[in-house]
Amino acid sequence: MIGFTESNHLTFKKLFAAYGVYMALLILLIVASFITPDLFDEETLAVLFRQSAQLGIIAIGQTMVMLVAGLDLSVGGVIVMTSMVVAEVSNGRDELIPLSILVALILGALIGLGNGLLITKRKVPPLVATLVMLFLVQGAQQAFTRGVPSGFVPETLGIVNQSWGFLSIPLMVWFALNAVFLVLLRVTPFGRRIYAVGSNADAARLSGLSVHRIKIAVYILASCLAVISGVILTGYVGYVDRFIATGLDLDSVAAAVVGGTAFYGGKGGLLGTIAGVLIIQILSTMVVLLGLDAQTQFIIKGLVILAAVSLYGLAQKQA
Amino acid sequence: MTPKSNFLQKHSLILVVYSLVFVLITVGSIYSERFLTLRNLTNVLRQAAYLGTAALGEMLVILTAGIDLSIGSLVKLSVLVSAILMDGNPDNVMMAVGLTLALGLGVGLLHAFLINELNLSPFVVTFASLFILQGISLTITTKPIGRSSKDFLLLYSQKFLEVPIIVYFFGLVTLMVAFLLNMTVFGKHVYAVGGNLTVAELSGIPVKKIRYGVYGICSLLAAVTGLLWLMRMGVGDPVIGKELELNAIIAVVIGGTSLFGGRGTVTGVIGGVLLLTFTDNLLVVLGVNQFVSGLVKGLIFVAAVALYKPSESFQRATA
Repeated sequence: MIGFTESNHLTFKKLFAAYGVYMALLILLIVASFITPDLFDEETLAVLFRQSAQLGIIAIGQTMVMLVAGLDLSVGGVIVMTSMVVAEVSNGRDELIPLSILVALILGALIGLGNGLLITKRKVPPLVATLVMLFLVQGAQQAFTRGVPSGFVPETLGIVNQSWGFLSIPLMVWFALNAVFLVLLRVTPFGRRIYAVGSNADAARLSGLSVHRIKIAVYILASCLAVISGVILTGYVGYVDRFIATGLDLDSVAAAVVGGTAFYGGKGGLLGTIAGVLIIQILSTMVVLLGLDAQTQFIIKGLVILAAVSLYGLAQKQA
Repeated sequence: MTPKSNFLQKHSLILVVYSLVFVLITVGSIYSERFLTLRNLTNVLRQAAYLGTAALGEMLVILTAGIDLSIGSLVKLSVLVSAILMDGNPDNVMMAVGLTLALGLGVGLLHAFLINELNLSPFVVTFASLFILQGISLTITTKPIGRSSKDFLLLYSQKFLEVPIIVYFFGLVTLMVAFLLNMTVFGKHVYAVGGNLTVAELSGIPVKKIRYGVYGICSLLAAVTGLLWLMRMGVGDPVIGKELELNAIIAVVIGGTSLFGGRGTVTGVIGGVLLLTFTDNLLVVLGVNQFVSGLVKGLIFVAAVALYKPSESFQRATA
């Protein structure tokens, strides 16, 4: 079975691995209520949750990829590709939105397939494989658009800006996707296989699992999730922007790491990543609210990553 | 198996890389008169010095089965710090160069300290460092800052026997790294640590000291790369260093170095650096439309890593 459910004895290690990040989130919220009470304004919260959802949707894919001991640096490229394809194919016409999203999903799936094939069939390390795919995707975008993206984003896509209080459409999509993938990871055989492949690929193969197929499927899913995030981001911005996804790829890795997902695979999960996403976004928002230089948020992110992995390491030793 | 086919198998990746470089040179000489001139070739070698200096350091780290994701951010910080310290004054050159190198070395030793003493993975430490160094750089400035002294700036264009002195300098760095790896005990230990950590520890190799060595040298060479950029730009431009670590890692891997450590040669890495640099140069010399050149580059990268053929032992270690 998966994770901490395997035994009734809840050791400190298991407690920390499961809930440590939520304790950290709680402490952060308490601190924020003292030093930046504005964080809890309805408007600030709405923006915070919207940004969390955008990052969170890619982080779902990144977490699954990391669970099979992989990494996907091409997600940012997929988001920009989505934004261009949606504008190009629909050219501002509402009735073409489904078609444009479908085209983006197909292209996204192909990029994921490319990642997966390079990693499994050619045994290229994931870092390098997804990186060269990113360069290829960026190159193709430039060649296709000649540097100036054309087409228009249909107005109806602005529906993603709809919100009721802080409950916005992106937030609901994030929740829904988390629910779907939590079930996928925890209940279905596919989910158990993902953990099996990540913990020990050799053992997984010897017990008859098709390691290659599982890995390829995970990379395709990660790319498709990036497409969904891209559609939301495009609707939000309302035009095509080459820099729409800047930083999101590394942030998605950071969110998964802070949430307790390990680079070497098999360890971690979506519940941790949700908290990781929220911690990163709350800290970024606090930097702004405190009136600090916006660039200091990079320093804080780095320190949070170090602190998180150090604590996970300590917890592991303790047990 | 005959010794000859053994040789071919062992060095197949290097052969592939140099064949690709040869193909590029052939294409260049056929299609452009300007390509095969001393001026252009020495220019390419000078450009190769920038990626190459950083890549050689990255290679040392990767040989120990580590990775350094922070060198791009460190190059950025180095160019800013050196430009600010130099401030256009020739009297400050030695001080600026000295302090920048010390900064680089310090960062590298800190990486090794965190990996050694906190038991963190190199990926996590340098991933966090990527954020922190970038944050510090961008907090210092987001606009060009500081100034190189005039003599220091002239080093970029200075030539000896028709060849830029930066090329000699790069040759010297290459020879020093090759000497270190092939002729010293330190070099043998680097391969041993990456080949099999447990065996290395059991046979009494000072693993921690080796890590201080490789991470120190890697960051030191990144600081050197920052100084080379100051020579070229004349100011501290915070744009410098963007994604340099990614290109360096691609050069190292295309050059036949295993990301799992223990395998790789200086010859191969130089081949990888030349492949990347010649690709850039050829696209310019042939007048390939700048929008298409990204696509061509992406295709060449994907082709190069798709030819990646891991050796037997590598497959066993990772399958």
